[in-house]
Amino acid sequence: MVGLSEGEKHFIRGGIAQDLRTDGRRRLQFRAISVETGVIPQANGSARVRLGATEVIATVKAELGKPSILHPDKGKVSIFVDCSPTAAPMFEGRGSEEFSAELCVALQRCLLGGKSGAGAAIDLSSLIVVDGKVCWDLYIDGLVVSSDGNLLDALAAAIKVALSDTGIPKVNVSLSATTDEEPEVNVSDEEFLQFDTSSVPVIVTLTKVGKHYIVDATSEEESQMSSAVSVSVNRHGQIRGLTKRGGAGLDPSVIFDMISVAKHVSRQFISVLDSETLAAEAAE
Amino acid sequence: MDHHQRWHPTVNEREFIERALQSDLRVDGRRPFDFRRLKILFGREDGSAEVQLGDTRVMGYATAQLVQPYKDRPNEGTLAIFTEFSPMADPAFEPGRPGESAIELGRVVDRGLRESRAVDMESLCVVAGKHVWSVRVDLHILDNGGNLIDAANIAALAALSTFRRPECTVGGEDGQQVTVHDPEVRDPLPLTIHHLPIAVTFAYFGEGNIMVIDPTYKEEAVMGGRMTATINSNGDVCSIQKAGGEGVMSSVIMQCLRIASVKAADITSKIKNEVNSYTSAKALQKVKRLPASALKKDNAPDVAMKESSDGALETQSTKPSSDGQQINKEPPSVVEDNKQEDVEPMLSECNPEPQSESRLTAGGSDETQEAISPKSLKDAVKPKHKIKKKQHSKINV
Amino acid sequence: MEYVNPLTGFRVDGRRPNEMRQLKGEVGVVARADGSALFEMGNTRVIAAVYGPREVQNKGQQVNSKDALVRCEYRMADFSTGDRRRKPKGDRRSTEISLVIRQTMEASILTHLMPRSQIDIFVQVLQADGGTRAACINAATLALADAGIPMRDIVTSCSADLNYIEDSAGGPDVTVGFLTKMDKVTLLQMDAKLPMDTFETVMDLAIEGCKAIANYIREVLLENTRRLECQRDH
Repeated sequence: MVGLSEGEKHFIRGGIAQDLRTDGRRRLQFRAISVETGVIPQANGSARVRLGATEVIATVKAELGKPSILHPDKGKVSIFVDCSPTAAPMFEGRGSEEFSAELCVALQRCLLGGKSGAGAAIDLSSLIVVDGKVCWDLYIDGLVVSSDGNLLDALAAAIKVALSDTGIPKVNVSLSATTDEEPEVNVSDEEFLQFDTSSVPVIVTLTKVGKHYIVDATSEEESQMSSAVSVSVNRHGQIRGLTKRGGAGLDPSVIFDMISVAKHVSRQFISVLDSETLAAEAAE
Repeated sequence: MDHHQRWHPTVNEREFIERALQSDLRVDGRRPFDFRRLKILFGREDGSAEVQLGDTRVMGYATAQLVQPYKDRPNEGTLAIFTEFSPMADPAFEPGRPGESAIELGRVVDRGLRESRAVDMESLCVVAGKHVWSVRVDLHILDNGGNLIDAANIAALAALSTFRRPECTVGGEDGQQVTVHDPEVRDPLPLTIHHLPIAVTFAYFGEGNIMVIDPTYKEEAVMGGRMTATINSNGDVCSIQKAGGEGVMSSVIMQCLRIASVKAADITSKIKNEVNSYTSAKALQKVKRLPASALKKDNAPDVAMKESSDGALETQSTKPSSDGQQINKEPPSVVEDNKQEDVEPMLSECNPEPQSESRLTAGGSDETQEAISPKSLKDAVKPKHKIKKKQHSKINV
Repeated sequence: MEYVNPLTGFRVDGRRPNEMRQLKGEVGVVARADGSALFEMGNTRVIAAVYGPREVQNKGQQVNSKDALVRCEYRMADFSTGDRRRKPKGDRRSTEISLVIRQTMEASILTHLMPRSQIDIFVQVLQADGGTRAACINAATLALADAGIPMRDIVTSCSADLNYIEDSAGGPDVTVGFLTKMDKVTLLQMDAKLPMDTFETVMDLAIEGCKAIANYIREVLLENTRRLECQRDH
């Protein structure tokens, strides 16, 4: 994807070793982040996040559905990711499928919890309308519009903002029909309920280049990586998920080190994201 | 993606074709607005037709089966066009996945037929929301001599015009049981076709100043742009497809449409004549098979005539009611009727003149048909159409 | 449902019958593309990105050695329509629209100036509210200009709805792609049964729309050039 000369590669690696990256950042410094909310009016919640030249859009749509038989007291959440060919010609046709699926799995792991839904970042029981009959199905869609590395962190951040932007219509269930028949559901146009998004994590990816690791790698930097560890951390500093990519092996002690660094970095990242979100909501 | 194997003219060939066109000459000797020779052949079965337009050959085959209707249109049948581009017809057609041009052709023919509501869909409803006829037209490109769209469109129309679906009646305790009658027992029914939308393709050369109708394969390889206008014999524009390419003035487009409407009238009458001679030949065949019924001819013409006109009315009136109640009234005498019904098409089609005339007027004056008979029905359906269409355009445009 | 209120003469969305939807064009929205643009027509919003001219990636696709190879892919985001659903990639509709957009852009690109090279146009629909193919063509024109690809004319597109010309049911619309300076129609699509005169009226209306959009696009491009000039001076 990225065609680099030997000199350029050397320059990137050398810069990282000296804690001065090609764009002037330090190893653990994010690019400027900008957030917009409500960018897709048809969705219940949406957000656009830009991290340098990387741009992603996340939307949340809520539809009334039926809970699964196994978990009659829980709603359902699903996550899909698509990489638009506008971001890179390699995403043309079916070219994006494999990569999209990889991002999608990593996000599901961080946000959806176990098979039963236990430990999900979104409280699934808050999505239930009538036990065993009606629930909200949340569809979270991520779209990569422009790609310059670190897509996973950008997508997770966009989803987090989109979820906090989401209003789910208030539903009135008529009491008469709570027996066997299909309950009558009245969806309100005016009243909306907000989510508790405090436990929705962000993802911080540490990309290992040479002996060091960096956050928020650009695609040039990513082309030089040996491995990358994505750690999802919530507001309380708890680790929610962990994904390792890249072929090279890592010493377990390095992973522990990375986790604690990620936890530290995430605190700053969340506070920047929060203030950007507030500014975006105020601007909307 | 499939154009890379297409034949490419040499510089000389290209120049020859273009130079000749500048003096209104075409390489096959035609004038700019002449169609190639059109031949329509029908297969042994109803609903199959092969169209030859010069070297281009397309086979159309119509079939139908009972299916559940779409939820948003519970009282309408469905019509779908499928295309098969055999590599035999052109080395540029790759086997397997349909290429761009195959998809475009299918969609152009499909839109011309469906969006102009050429085939009556409501009369294909058997039990609203439960059973409707789903008509499928398969278009097989057998030889690509250029201008596939027009040939495929004619093949689809010819196939639909001769297609007969089995008659079926609704009965049972709940009035939902559908009996499909064997074609040997009860004559299968033709589709109600309101008008024939004819596709006429223009090819543009030079800077959009030179145009010809019905381009050949070689002309297609040289042309700068193409426009297909689907028009019926009344001059109603049913669909237009000009998918980019060489630009033309809007006045030229209107000129093309006027030419197309003349051509559409020619082709319409050609299709109708061919269909009529096919149906009358078919009716004669039946008579030969059942000589006994010929005897009946003498003593039953009045009855049979009445029946036939009744039948015609019935196909019209089942449209709104769609519960098949009317059909149910006559079955007690099925066995007796049997022979008579076999006579009936023969009677009406033994004397083809009035028949073909009525057919022509029925097709020609479809605006009156639409304006008078189903008006009340149309009005009733209107608001729903509006909403439906609106959604449609939202999603699809 | 009435499309035009008989009392006030305004449409459902408050526009006058022949008033165009709000337009918005922005150049350079995808940082890593050679050219890119966002185009909005009312609630319809699309992004176009252009990559190239670059080396032909798949030699088998090269049509001839005299012209550039132009390719196009149209894609709709899963969330772009009111009801959310997974959209299969490369379905018949998007294949056709890709073809239509490609051939429309080819009518304006001076392909003979860039032989043996390839230009990729990707259009992504973010919000679909009617007229997506027109919005895509307008976005693609802006993106091609942003990429500095030589064109013989600005090609713009607009669709005219029939609803407000005669109060007919349904929304048969005519989409026109227009080369403004040459005064020529390159794209024309219509599906609905219409008398020829009515069709002419609608087509003329759509052409007027295209001309208005061309003026707007020219403004956006001029504004962008001014901005670039400013940046260079500093």
